[in-house]
Amino acid sequence: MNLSSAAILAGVAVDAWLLAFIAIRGRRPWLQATYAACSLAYLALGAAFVGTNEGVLADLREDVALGILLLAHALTAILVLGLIHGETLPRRRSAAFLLLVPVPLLAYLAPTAGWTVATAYQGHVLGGFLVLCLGIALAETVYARYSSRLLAAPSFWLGVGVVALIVAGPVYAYELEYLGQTPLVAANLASPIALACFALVAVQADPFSITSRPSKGQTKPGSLPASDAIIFEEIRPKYALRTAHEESSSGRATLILGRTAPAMAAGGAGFAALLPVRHASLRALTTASEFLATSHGGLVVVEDLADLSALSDWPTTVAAVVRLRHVARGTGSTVVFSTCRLTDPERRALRDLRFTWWSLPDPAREIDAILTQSFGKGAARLLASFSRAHGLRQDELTTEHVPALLDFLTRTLAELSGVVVGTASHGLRTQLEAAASGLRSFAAQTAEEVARGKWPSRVSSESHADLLVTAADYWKGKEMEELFAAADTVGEREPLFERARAVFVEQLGDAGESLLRTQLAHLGKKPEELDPSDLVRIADRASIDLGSLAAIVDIPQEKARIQKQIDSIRQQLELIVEEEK
Amino acid sequence: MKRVSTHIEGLDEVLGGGIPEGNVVLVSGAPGTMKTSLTYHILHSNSLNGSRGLYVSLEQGRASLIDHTEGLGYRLDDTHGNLSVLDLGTLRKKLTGSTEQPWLDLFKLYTQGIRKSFDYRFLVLDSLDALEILAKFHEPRREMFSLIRWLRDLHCTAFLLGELPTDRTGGADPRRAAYAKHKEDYLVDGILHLRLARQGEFGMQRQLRVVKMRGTRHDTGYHALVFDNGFRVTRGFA
Repeated sequence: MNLSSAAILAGVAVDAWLLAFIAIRGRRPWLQATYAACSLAYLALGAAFVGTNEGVLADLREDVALGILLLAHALTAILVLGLIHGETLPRRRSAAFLLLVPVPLLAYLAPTAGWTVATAYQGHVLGGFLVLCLGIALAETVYARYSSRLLAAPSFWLGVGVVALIVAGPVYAYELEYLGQTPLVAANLASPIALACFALVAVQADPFSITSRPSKGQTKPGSLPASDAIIFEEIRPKYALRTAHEESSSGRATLILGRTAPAMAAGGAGFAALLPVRHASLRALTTASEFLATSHGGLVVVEDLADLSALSDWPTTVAAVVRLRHVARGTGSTVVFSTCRLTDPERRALRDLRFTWWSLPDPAREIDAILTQSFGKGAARLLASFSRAHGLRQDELTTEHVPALLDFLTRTLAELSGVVVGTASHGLRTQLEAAASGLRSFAAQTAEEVARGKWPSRVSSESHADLLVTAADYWKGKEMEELFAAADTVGEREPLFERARAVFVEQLGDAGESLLRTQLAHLGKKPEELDPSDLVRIADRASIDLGSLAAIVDIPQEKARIQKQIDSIRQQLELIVEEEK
Repeated sequence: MKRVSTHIEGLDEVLGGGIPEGNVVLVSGAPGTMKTSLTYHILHSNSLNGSRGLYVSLEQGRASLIDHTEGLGYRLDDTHGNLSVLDLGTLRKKLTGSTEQPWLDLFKLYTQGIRKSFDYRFLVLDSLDALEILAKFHEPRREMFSLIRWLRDLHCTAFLLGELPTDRTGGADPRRAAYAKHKEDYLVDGILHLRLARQGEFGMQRQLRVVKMRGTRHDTGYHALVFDNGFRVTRGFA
């Protein structure tokens, strides 16, 4: 076997390996198919060269060899365009496939026109077409390299691949001709390099895996404006997730892109986890565009742009956001971005892009404001009791919790039957009904309505709270105090573990629950098996164990603060034990 | 962009004026490359100028660390309470069932809580590897990502010390692109790589390289890291 046969054979082996790799590894069927066709064309040309050179195969028919060569070049251009534009190319820009039209025609005309594989790159129509294909690929690569920060790295590798094909194709053919050497029929020595570069880009831009993916195809229209990208300006992505939930429940194909799967996404929305990888923005873009390309009119919710910004950088994230808007427009879909945890300069930069912008409140604050309108400052106590009863932090409250909150308030009022009677009872009921009506109407509003309407917190803040005589003030006294006390009772009539957990978490944050569970593990008990005598032991152990927490700090104020927290845990646990007795 | 000085002669020039304030910087290197001393120097020097620093040690006890650093001339008393050492290493020994404790949550509890009474501008975590082992990361990349993001939200300049294995040539292979185990090198804002490079037949030289520093135009080459009366960074020669 001579050197050129050995080199081409090695290239064929690499091509085959890359073909298998992309077929197994990829998540974009159109791109995989194009890659497979392209690599098969190069593989066939290489195998034919080795076969005929080594006398294993008969000479390949000239028109067939030319046909495969033409196909390989046209598919190279289509593949490069696909790698830059993603899955939207075959579906939305299918004109690129017109490059395949001249292939059979030119192969058919080749014998009559005297075009051969040996003279394929010479100055005739066939040579012009081959160079045009490579030229299109190179031009698009260079354009993407300089026009998009997001595509800079992939374009570089695509450029390397295309240049390698040009050097080992037309340039090498002219060189051999000049030197009077036999050309390598149609085999391109650089095909493994080019296919490796294309494979690298395909992997860099591979979409994230989607769990619970909605079925593909046309989806039902949702309530959000189509062909648009909307920015949800909110402190936490509560409305973004709620909107995803509502749209998916109404039959619209919905995808949430975020770090961890939100509980409420179970209502039919797909979820793609953002992984901490180098090309996170690019992969997020391809995930969303692949999803929208297969689910026209769908919805993609990017739960947290700050995550993308942390993983890539802000300019790259902005480039991805802008491209996603194009994808939304091209597919009649909607993309929602939540701005939570973005910095002020980042928010300003987003505003400059002139997206549809919805400023949304934190539902927890609004619920508090609605309750405050009815119950005055006691609203905080009611909410604290409700949160404790449901093991929630108050800032976790969303409109999803409104039915449970109303039920809680109703049960609380029921506790007072027989204690508060007559006019007072009627007054409390009226206040509760007013609060319930306010909560229901707020919870029923869509994100768009909330963004356009007046938020309850703004309404109440405009009311000159100092001068306003609220119903709570009017009814202040025994009845109201009894309502709050009843709420505390309802809230505290929860499992013992929940009460102990609330104490630890209140004082020590997330670490508190883990510390409590460790103490439980030492007692060999499960949370549901906890009884008051265990709490006494936990309180004793906690004061010793947690005392170490303060001992290792060398800042006096901090030492005192931690010690105070530990004392508070002990006191509250003892209080729970007393109450249980 | 506001920058903070490292107070190491030559390093601020290499960094193009200092470290951008609020960056999370991974300081990685093999044992003996002076990661602890270098970061303690930065904390100590800044605390002398009134910028508070918190050093969180998960491995070395407080007494041992202070012995070590005072031996290098960094007296804790000189900082007038602007430098605090949080000795989680000792807590490990004191707390019953220490292997079951939520170390990541405890680390967050302390660093966030201390901020309220001691507004530190610099934080050192010594070391990331110890935290990972103690906290038993089930999904290290995800949890590392979350930790780094959380640190960034603290809005202080944070240094994470990462251990690299010693190779036969005495330093980590510069051609190897990874400076961390779980790709945290992609997540952090900056990476300082420290290594021991062979000098002639018997000698070894400590070297420092700014691999990455978001928001700066920095020199990317290796520089000699010299400690005599304090740290100094100079152009390294073979």
